[in-house]
Amino acid sequence: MTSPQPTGPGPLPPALRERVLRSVSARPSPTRPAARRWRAAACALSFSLAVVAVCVPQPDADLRPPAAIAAGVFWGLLVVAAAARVLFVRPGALWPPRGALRATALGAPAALALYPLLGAALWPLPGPPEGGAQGVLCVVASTVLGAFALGGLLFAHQKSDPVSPGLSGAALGALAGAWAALSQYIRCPFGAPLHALTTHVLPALLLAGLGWLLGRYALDPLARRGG
Amino acid sequence: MAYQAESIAAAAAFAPSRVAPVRPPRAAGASAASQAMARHAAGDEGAFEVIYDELAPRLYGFLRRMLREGTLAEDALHQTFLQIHEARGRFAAGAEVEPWAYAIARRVAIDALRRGRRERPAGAGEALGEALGEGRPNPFPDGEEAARAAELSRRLREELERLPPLQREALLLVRHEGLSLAQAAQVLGIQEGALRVRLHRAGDRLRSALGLEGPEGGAE
Repeated sequence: MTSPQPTGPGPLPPALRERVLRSVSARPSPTRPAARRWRAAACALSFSLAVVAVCVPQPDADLRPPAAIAAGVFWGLLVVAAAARVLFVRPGALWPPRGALRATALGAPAALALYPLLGAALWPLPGPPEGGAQGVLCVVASTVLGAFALGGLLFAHQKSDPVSPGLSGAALGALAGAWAALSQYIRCPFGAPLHALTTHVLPALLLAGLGWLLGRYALDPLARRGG
Repeated sequence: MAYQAESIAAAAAFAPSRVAPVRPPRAAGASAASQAMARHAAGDEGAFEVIYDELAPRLYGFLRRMLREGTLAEDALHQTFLQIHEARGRFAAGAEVEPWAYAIARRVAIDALRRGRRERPAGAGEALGEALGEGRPNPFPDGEEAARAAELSRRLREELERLPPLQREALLLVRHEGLSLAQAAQVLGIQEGALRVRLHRAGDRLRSALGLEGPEGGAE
C-alpha cells in the first residue's frame, strides 16, 4: 500500500528574494512620517470646509435654531469625531472587522435621524415654507460638505484596506455625511422631522453608498492592478 | 485501535475548545518581522530584507496552498511584498505585521483566482490534510492499517475541499498557518467570535462527514 506523500509548499526560490528586493528598492514609497503629514493635510482641508460653513453667522436672528439644539449638535460632532478616531486611527495596519464597519455605515445615519425626531419632541420647529429653496440648499450643502470630507478621508486612507474596502468606504462616507449633516443642523432653522430626514439624513445615506462605490477603488490596494 | 485513535484525534482537533494551531503562534510581543516593519515604515530601507526573510517562507507556503502553482505563488509573493512596501506609511510602530501581511497575500491570491487562473482556492483541503498528519511520517507502514489511514486521508481531503470557502479559509489560517484566533480574525475582517463559530461549524461538518461523532470515540 502506498502511504500519503508529503505535499508541502516546497522551498522558496532563492532568485525570488533578489527579484523582490530589487523591485522594492526601485520603487519609492512614502514613509510613515510623510504619510502622516499627507493624511493630516487632506483631512484638515476637507473638514475645514464644514467647519467654515458652521462658523458663517446666520444673518437673521429669528432663523437661528435654539441654543440647546446647537449644544446638542456640538456634542454630536464630538461623538462623530471620537467614533472616527476609534475606528480609523488604530495601532494596527488593518481596518476594523466588517461588523463594526457595517454598524458604522448604517448606524451613523440612523443616529443622525434621532436628532430631528428628538428635537421635534423637545423644541417644535417649523418646516421650510412651501416652494422655498431652503430644502434644496440644505441638500446641496450637506452633500457637498460631506463629499469634500469623504474625499479627504478616502485620499488619506487610499490603498489601505485589503480586506473589505467597500465597507470601509461606506463607513467613511457615513461618518463624513454625519459630520456634514450635523454641521448643517447648527445652521438650519427648520427642525421639522420631514425636512431634516430628507435634506440632512438622506445625504448621509447617499454618501455612505458613494463611499462604498469609491472605496472599492480608492481603498483597495490592488484595484488599479486588476485585469 | 491505534488507527481509530489517530482518526478521532484528527477530527477532535477541530473541536472549538481545541482550535489551537498546529504551528504554535508567535509569542506575545513584537516579532522580529514586526520590529523590522516598524523600522522600514520609519524610513530604514535596509530593514526590508529582514521582513522578507522572516515572512517570505510562511507567505510563500500560504500562497502555494491557495494557488496550487509555484509560478503563480511566486508572482503573488512578489506582489504582496511590493504592496507591503508601498503601504509602509500606514504601519504603526508596535503593530503586528503578520495579520496585515497575510491579509494582503490573501487578497492578492483571491485577485489571481478571480482573474480566472483558478476557479477557486483549491489546495486548502490538501494543506489541511497535511496539518492533520498527511505530511508526517506514516505511523502505519504496512497492511490494513496503512490502507485505512490512506483512505481516511483521502476522505478527509475530500471533505475539506467540500467545506464552504469561508470555513476552509478559517481552518487554513488557524490550523495550518499558525495564526492566533485574533490574528486570523483580523486577516478575514471578522470578529474573533465569528471565527470561532466558523471553526466550530467546520469541525462539526468534518466529524459528521467522517462518521466521528465526538472525541470520546464515536468511530466504529
